[in-house]
Amino acid sequence: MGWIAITGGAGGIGRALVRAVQDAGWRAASIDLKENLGADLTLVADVTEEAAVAAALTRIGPVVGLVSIAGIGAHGRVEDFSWADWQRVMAVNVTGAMLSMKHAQMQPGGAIVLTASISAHVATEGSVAYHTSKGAVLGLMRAACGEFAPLGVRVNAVSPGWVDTPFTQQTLGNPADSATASVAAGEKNLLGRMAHPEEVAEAMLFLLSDAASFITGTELVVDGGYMRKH
Amino acid sequence: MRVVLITGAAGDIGAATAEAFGKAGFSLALLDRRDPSLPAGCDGVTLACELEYPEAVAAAFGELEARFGRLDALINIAGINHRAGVRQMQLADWNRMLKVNVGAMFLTAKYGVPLLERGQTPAIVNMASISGYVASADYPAYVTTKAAVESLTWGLAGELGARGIRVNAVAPGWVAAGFTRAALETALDPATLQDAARRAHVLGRMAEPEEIAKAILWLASPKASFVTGETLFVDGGLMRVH
Repeated sequence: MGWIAITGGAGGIGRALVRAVQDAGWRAASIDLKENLGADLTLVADVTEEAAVAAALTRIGPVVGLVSIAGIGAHGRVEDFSWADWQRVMAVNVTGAMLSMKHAQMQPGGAIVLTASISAHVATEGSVAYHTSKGAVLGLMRAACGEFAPLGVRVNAVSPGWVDTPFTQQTLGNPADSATASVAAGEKNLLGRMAHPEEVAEAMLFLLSDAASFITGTELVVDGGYMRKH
Repeated sequence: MRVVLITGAAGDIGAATAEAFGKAGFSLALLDRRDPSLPAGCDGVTLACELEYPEAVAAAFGELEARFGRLDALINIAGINHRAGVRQMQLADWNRMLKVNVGAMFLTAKYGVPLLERGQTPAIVNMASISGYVASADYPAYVTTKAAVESLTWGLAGELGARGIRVNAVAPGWVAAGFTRAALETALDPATLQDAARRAHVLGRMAEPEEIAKAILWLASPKASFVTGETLFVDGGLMRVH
């Protein structure tokens, strides 16, 4: 049934996707700074280092799917935000996605899924680097769908809202407040709760699958109605 | 007198924008990697600045603070292009695109916000592009950076709105100027180019740089006082052609 390469495969969404991919009959290869022993192959690599990304994807070999999830956040008002932090967010969230696509050995009929965010669309305080990086991911997805179409490879993005993962908890504040923070995050969307990571993984799995055979260059928003709540 | 900073002022759109703001009575602070020139009869200063280096941007804003003490409009036009598909992309070229087309806008905002807070009805306008929305096998770095410019614009709008600074973007289609014209003229003979431009736009032609400048001037003016976090397409209907 073939391999799916997943960057950020040891994070909250990544772990859920590894399980979903396996349940669908594919084999999952995780590329992350940490191991995911639940994956069929787990490789430790920093997505910003081209040699490491190339080595990992060579090791995995031909794939029917690539899902780029690896990403970081960073907080700070624009006047106080350092150039080094800015560069790091862009490197992981944008360049990491580009490098994964560059080196993935995509098979015809395969699909690429990038992870954008509702952050690409909204204005908030103190997240300007994250907003920018996620908009960049959408641009990369739109450009790449043109490049990969002649190869028979579709390219799409999933944009989660708040997802109940360690990444989000870290963004929302210290662990003692996490229950309160979760409720607050849930109040920001129509469904009144954060997404479970499995719900984001399901959307990625759909875009990987033949059920999405005519879908390319599209963003699938999985935000519980965050973008429609006023 | 109101003060405007324009990056990429030596390019065709930048020069047209400098002239439009100059005629509207602004003092001009013009930045580019090569020394831009002040339009005839306009007041202001020109600075050569490599915008992707934080030290260079900080130094330029230091000079502007000493000279003007404030800023009423920040117009980010500087940008470059690079042709290579994802699978052929060299990391150094990619990184340079991200730095010049997006990083520089972060840096001018980072150092410009304290000056804008002292301005009158201050506004930022960033150069996006219809390219942020299209499938482009040859120019993924450009498409990525232009989509990034829009989310940067929205993020800044959210952050700076309460401080009275509006932030918007302009998204041109094909402009008969700069690297767009150069790229098109390299790829196509004149008759084919004219035909392609006609078919690409509802208005049947490319934009003149002055038409982009007019849109930027409007967004930066008090006439747009309730417009923020927005992208103004100045694309002759390109996005609606199929």
